[in-house]
Formats: sequence, structure tokens, C-alpha cells
Amino acid sequence: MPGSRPERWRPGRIAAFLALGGLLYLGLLLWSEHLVRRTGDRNPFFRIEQAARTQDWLILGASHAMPLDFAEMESLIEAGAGKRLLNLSATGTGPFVWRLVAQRFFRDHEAAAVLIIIDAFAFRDRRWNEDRIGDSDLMPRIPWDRATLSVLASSLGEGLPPATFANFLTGFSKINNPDRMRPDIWEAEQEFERSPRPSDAADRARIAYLYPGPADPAAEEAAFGHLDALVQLARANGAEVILIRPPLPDRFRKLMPGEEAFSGRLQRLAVEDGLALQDMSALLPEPGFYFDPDHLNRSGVEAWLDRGLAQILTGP
Amino acid sequence: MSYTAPQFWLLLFATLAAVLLAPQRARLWVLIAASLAFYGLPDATWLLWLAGVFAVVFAGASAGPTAARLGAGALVIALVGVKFGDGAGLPLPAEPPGFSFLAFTAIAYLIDVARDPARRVLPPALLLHLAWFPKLLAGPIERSAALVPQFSGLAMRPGLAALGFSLILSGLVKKLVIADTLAPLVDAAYAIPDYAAPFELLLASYFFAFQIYCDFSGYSDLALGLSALVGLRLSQNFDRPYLAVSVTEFWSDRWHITLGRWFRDYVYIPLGGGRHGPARRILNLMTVFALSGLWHAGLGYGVGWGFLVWGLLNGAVVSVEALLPPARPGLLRPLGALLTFHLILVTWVFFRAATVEDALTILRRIAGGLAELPAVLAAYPFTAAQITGAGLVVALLAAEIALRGRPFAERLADAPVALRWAAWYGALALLLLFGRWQGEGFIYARF
Repeated sequence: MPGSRPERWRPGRIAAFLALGGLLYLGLLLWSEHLVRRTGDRNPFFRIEQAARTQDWLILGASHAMPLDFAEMESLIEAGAGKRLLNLSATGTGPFVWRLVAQRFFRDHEAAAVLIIIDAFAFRDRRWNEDRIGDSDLMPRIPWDRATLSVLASSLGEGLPPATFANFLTGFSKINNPDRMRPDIWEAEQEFERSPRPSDAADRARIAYLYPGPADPAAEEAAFGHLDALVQLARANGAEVILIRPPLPDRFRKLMPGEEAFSGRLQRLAVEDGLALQDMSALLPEPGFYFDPDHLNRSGVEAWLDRGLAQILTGP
Repeated sequence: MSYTAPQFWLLLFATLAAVLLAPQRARLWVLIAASLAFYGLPDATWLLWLAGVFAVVFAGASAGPTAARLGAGALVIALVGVKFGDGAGLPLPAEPPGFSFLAFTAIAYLIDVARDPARRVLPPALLLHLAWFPKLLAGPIERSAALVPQFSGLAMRPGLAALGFSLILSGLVKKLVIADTLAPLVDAAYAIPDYAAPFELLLASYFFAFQIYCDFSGYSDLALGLSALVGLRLSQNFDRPYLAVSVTEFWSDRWHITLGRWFRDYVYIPLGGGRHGPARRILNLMTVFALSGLWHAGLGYGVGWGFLVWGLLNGAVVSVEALLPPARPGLLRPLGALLTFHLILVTWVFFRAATVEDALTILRRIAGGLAELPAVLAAYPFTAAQITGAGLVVALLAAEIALRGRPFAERLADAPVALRWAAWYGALALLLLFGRWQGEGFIYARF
């Protein structure tokens, strides 16, 4: 019976239990870090760790920038432009995450130019920004290093939730990652060659996902602030910055809420910061260029390159 | 406040530190403060509900047996109001979490005091008895005679702390590793039963039986464990329920034991129990199970008729068993347990399905697919999640069959240090690697 046990605390035994527990945690953490590096692929922080120190182009953005390195597209673009590209885009991310990624990149890397693929939805809500970095498909895949820790620590005052920082610091989400054995890929890449028949229902579902409600003015304000800070960071590191609005099907663009106001605000920022802003959203209106409601397929990426993107990437 | 939130663990550590440092006479107040913080921090208006219940109980108990009974009646009306008022179009506030359990505890106290005024306790002890946070959301439903005398000995003691730690780990593993791993498999199959394959529905129904068991008994383990840390022993609420050899045994001695006793003492026996012949006994049994079903059915935003069907089905089986001669389990014990489990399983379908129609669809589709079960089983492309879920269920059952007698946590608390530590580290590793810390809240906190 528990009552028959001598009622005496043993501090030494408690300390030993805690120490062994700490060792167990450390062992699990090291194993998890090993798995992060073994299964890593898409995570932008993982890519920075693997990348060459000097790049010509750094590409930031949400999922609309990701087809640029699907299949062998990145090598083809690099060969065509004669430039080295590092695509650090990630699904569902906004300016706060892009800025974090850029901060981490410029800690020990260089780029001649930064191409930011701008998606309007990513400015409307914290979920694509401050709250996104802690999500289960991003945080558990970020390799632990001091530079990343320092970037995240400095972002605490910029809106990074303390719980997200604590999560990275302790590596808890890595140890607890149910997808720890799976490669870090975006399944949509398998659809890259497809050109399915468009669907009104799919368009509406996608819009409802990206634009679930009215824009949060405070979140929008903060997002533009992060974009501005990102531009200043890149320039401070000697990189030219170009903003591009990516091609989208006409049928999809017509459903996007608040487009006019967003475009106007983005234009004003570009003018104030003296930035090159290329609005290519109407460049490829036909749904045949997309493998789902809004992501470019192979022929879409090729057409985008042919109709202006390749020329941009040839510079600076 | 969620048990998986960092704020909860901070509150717990602060409470334990305060209990450790405070003099004996102040510890009661420490636990009251912790309980009020636990309940009030997510939404301060919930404290008004608690204050209201406390006021009714205190006033009722202070003013004599009639007032105590009136107070109990008022709480029953309040419970019915929050459960069914909104569905009936009455402009009543939403039910705060755990209100049912608070009301059950309060009603039990008032009736006990009405029966025996000597059972009245001092206001601070009454407040802690009602509000003690580990049991506040989903029980166990404690009686003041069992809990309040322990308040004079509040302390952190090594033996009970070891037991408490074992129970907390057991509760967390049941909830975060087993129940929350099974939950998405059940949700997927039950979402649109017409679209799910019969075998998938069958598998999901088995999984739900263990999901709700691990979810609810996991909560109870946590409540018992957290209480043990400060020297309180709460009542055991579960005793390996799926090893019951009759539905009567399941409900009386193994599943949600404190609620079963509450209904026995405050509904069944006052109605006459089994004292007035078989017909009256069956009527009383059906009344108890119908009330239990109704309690679950009051969703606050409508009526979940499936819960009522679930209650009545269980009542019907218990009534039939009451008419049969007492069973002699012996060698047939495993068969009895298997039969009981499957009877319970059928009733769980009504508990879990979104509507009675859905439940009937699920049962019809499962029954229709039984003839082809061997062929389907041989060729079924089990997913990794299904295999994991089945593995967890088998491991749980094996442990419960192997560990007869004293509960596992009690055995562990008395085991040699090496064995105890190995089990604790194993549970911690399971929680770290496989615990679903972002999962859903406890099922019964909704009732």
C-alpha cells in the first residue's frame, strides 16, 4: 500500500529521476534532429542549411511560388538564366514568415536579388503569418541551430508567439511529430503534370480556405510592415528586391475578395520603397495552365517563364 | 482550462509549491484559490455559476431539511434549464463546463444533509468539496462524507505522490496516446455513414468503444492522480469495464461508478429500488437509464435523441438481466464478457452517431456486411493509423486482463524503484513521441 511506504522525501532520488528524465529527453531530441535532417526537403530553414553560401536569386512566397522548383524546373530555370536559385517558399505563408526566413538566410548567406511572390490572402490574417510558423508542418521540420534560435528570439517583439519560440527552443514538436518518418514534401507536386477540368466547387472551396472571412485590418497592417522590413533587410544585405504577383486563372481571380484595395496598397508600398512590382496575375488566364484551382502546372510554369519571368531572372 | 495547456501545468506547479510551503491550516485555502483560478481564468463568468451553486447549497443546507430538498430541486431545474432551455427557445445562458458534475455533487450533498443534518460542513470545506478542480469538469462525483474529512490532512506525501504521478501518467497516456489516436479514425467513418464501407464502420465502432473508455477513464485517472499529489483520495470511477460479464455489472461496478452510485442512492432507491416486485423494479431501472440518457441528450442547443435511445437500450438489457437467474460465470466468463462487450458496443453506436438515423444506418450497414467479413478482412488494405489504433487497443486489453486485482497505478506506486521508474519513463516517452497534445478536449467535459 502507498501508505506503508516511509513518508520521507528523498531529494537525491528525485534529482536522479529528473536527471535521467532529462537525458531521455535529450536522447529523443537528438534522434528527432537526426530525422529532421534525414527527411528534410521543403522546409525553408532546412533548405538554407543545405544551400550554398552565395545565391543569385532568393525566392520567397507562399505555395504559388513552389511550382518554380517542382520536378526539374529549378535546374531548367538555372540553366536558362545562368543563375543560381534558392526557392524558400512554403505553403500558406505570409510576410511574417518570409521575413523570418530571410533573416535566417542573411545570417550566413548572400543573395544578389530577392524575388518575392506576393499573394493577397497572405496579408489578411495572422494564421498565415505570426501563427503559421508554429504549425505542425513547419515547426517540427526546422533544424535546430543557433542562428535560427537567435532570429526567432529577436522576433518575439515582432509578434512571434512565445509558445512558438519555446517550442523551437525545447524541440518538443520535433519529438512529438507524428510525421517524423515521412519525407517533408508537398503532395501537390505529384499533380504538377496534370491539367484537370476546372470546377466551380473546387474554386469556391479554395477561396473559402484562403479567405475565410473579412480581412483583419491589424493583421494586414502588420503584414505590410513585415514586407517593408523584409525589403529593408534584403537591401541592407546588398540584394535587389522585386515583387511579383503570380499568374492566376481568371475564374479564380474573379472570386478573390478585396483585390482592388490590396493592389492599391501594394502599389503605394512599391512606389514609396522604389521597388519593382510586376503584376503578372492576369498573364495566364486559362485554367489549362493550372493543376488545381490556382497552382501552375508544368505548361503554366513554362508559359510564365516565356512570358516574362525568365527575362526577370536573367538579371540583375 | 485544458489539462494539456501550459497554463494548467504552471497552475499545478504553483499549487503544489504553495501546498508544500503553506502551513496546514492555510492549505485548504490554497486549493480553493487554485480551483477558482482553474475555473475562472478561461472565462470569469463561470465563477458566477459556481458562486450561484455554492449559495444555493449553503443556504439550503443551513435552513433545514426542507430547504435542502428545495435547494436540490432548484439545482435539478437549473440543470434541466441549461440542458434543454436553449433548444426549447428559452433565453438561458450557455452551460459552463462541468456544470452537470457540479450540480450532481451539490445535489448529493443537499440530500445527504436533508437526511442527516449532522453531515453539514463548514463553508470553506463545502466550497472546496464542490469546486476541487481535478474533478470539477467530469468527476468522479464525490460525496462529502468521503472527501471532506480528508481536508484536515492536506499534504504532499511521498507514497501518495508516487501514486498520483502514476495515475497522472496513466491518464495522459489513455487520453493523449490512445483515445486521441482513435478519435480521427472514428470521426472519419462516422462523418457520413452512407459513404463508409461496412468494415470501416465496424472497425470505427470498436475503436469508439475504446476511445470513450480511454478518454473518460483517462480524465478520472488524472483527477485521482492530481488529488493524490496533495493527499486526497478520490473514488475509483472505472474498473476494467470491458471485462464485465453482464451489462448490469458494467453499469453498477465498472463504468462511471460514481454516477451509477449517485443514481442508485438518489433516484433508484428513493423510487423503491427492487423492493416492490419485478415490475416496479424494471420501471425503476428504466427510469434511471432514461434519466441518464436524458442527461446526456441535453446538448444545450437541442436534444441528442441518440443518447436517449442509448440510455433506454442499456436500461432494457439491464432489466432483462434482472429477470434472469443469477449467472454462474465460471468457464463461461470470457464468453459472458465478450457478449456484454458487444451489447455495450451496439449501444455506443447510438451514443456516437450524429443522429438516430445515422446510428441505424451504421448498424444496418455493419449487419449487411457481416457475411462477407472473412473475405474483406483478408484483403482489407489496413492503413498505418488503423494498425496503430488496433495495436493500442490490444495492448490496453492485454494489460487489463493481465493486471487483475489492484489497479495498475497502485501496484506501480508500490513496485521496486527500478520497475517504477522504467514504467514512468516508458509512459513519458510514449507521451512525448505519440501524445496528441493539440487534440480535442475530454468528451465528458461537454456533458
